[in-house]
Amino acid sequence: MTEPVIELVNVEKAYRYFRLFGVHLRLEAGQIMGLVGPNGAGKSTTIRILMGMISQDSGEVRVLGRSMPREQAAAKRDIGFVSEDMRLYGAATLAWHMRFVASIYPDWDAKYADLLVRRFNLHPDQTIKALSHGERVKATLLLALAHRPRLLLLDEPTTGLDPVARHEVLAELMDALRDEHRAILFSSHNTHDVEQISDVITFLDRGRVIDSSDKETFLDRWRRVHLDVPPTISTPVLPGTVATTVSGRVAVITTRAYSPDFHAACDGAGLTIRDVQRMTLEEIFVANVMSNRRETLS
Amino acid sequence: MNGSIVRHLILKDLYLLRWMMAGSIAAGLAALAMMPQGKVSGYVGGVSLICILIVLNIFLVMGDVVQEKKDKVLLFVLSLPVSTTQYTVAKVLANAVAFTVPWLILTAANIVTVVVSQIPDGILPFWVAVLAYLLFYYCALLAVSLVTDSTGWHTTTIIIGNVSVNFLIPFLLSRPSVSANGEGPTAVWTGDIVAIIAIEILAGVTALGLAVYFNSRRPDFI
Amino acid sequence: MHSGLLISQADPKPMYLQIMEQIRHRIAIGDWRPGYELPSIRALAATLQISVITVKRAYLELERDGVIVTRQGKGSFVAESAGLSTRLHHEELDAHLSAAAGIGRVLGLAPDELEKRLRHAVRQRGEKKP
Repeated sequence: MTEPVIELVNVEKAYRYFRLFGVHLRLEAGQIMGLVGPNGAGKSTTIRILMGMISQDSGEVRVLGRSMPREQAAAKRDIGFVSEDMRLYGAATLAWHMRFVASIYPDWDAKYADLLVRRFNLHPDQTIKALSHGERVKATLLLALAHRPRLLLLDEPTTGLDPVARHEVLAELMDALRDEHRAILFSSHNTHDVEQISDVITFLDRGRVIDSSDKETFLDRWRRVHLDVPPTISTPVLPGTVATTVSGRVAVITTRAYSPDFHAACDGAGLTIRDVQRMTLEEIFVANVMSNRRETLS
Repeated sequence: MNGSIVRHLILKDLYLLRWMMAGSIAAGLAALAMMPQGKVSGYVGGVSLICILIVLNIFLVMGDVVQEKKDKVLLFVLSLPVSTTQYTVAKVLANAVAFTVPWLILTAANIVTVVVSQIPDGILPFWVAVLAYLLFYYCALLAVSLVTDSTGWHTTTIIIGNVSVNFLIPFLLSRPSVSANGEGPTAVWTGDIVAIIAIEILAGVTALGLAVYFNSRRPDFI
Repeated sequence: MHSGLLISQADPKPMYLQIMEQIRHRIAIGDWRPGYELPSIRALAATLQISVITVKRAYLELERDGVIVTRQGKGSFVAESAGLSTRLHHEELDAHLSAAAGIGRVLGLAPDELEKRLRHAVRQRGEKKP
């Protein structure tokens, strides 16, 4: 079994008004992980801890086999990092940035860099401050991609991009993964993008990992079930129920444990299934977060 | 520590600061050229020289060190194969070179100007003490920027720095050696002036050293 | 190699099913003949811009159904079994008929009503041909 590209074990980080705790995360080579969470959930903090920019208070952080933050300089030789709030030098040109980054990374692929310039529709001789938001994000991504890093850590890479730019970015990310030795971790609150390209999805809320699983399992196991409830039962109880809404004799159950056995369980409980609806990742995420918040209150 | 990335970052910073360095040297030399021309132009040149070195100080620390952090450009630099410590070392070194090189050139040019022109050489200890104080001021402001992100403290340091220069000048002029020999043809380096210069330089280096040390102990780089 | 497959996120059907359907269809109409090498999982994922795990699942299920064969280290190929194309076409037909039967039930149509409608559709198709 090869070493995971990313491994977080029981990572904790406390700030005055926010705490990251008990974070376990694991990413294998060849995978894309989507980190989903509301604003303030701790996505950026987690990614910066992975980059060694922030020191965890406790817990183990290993990236590409290196212990972070101690070995961050070595690890970053193989990492490409893009963050939505990151900026380049406004007075300098994209070409200057390309030359600068190329001088630092021996693995810089000049041909690939030129290809990306064309694909992203960028003009290297433009100064950074003249670029639009989308162009700047693409420029930063180009600088991260062109040295062909084994790991891409992206904090909100598609936020604020128009649909065309988003498409260009997602295409390049997926292209990078043609190589099964590489991996990508990206955070987003665009569940659409996450649902489309992620292999593994991790939900973060208020500093904790509330769920983590591969995408297909999420989409397979979560359902909205519409039931007819016989008069003898007030509230149906079924395994894996996350939320229940009852009005009269009709109940809608959100379940995280849908399987062929579910129908048998309903029959056993005397409930008639009217409809079973799949849920989008967005719906799964919201239901998951709401249920988790209710649980932590009680 | 792998020196290669630190070297790359220093060169990068110096490249980005090249106009600031060149501009301050040019302006400083122009101010120096004014000084031997007469009493009034001597004043104007002298004050301009001091201002130029203060402006360079502020632009370098606030415009480069502080701004890079505020604008999140440091996230880009930190994404490179560099540790947070190496980043700080490279930043401090580059910034210090960007100030010290013009400072050295202008200090040397100042000394030459006084010696070569008809400005009485006796004023030399005064000038060296002033210039050494401006170096100390730079070290202090850089040190404060390393230890805190608070704009309030940065601004306070600048205000104290500027005001203290205003008090330093009459204080130095009132030193018995300067008041006695200031208009004379020879530079008289008495113990108190030398001590003042030594303290200024030592204080600057110490402040910077302590700041770098405490900065490395800061738990959160970002 | 452009696979010509297309995934719609607007389609309520899960993505892996869409892929399976489209691959089945290509085999059924004879575009992808027995022995044809399918695009690699990663290549298809990159072209369609969807998760590798989704394409993997589609290929796995197709293999389970005997539609494709995966040779370790070599790739995935359309199965050589005789009449695969025809069988898939029949499966497609059955799926459509089952859907029609379902709608008929909702409308409350009797079986011979449904038959009448089917014959009518066959006639119309025949007339449409140039």
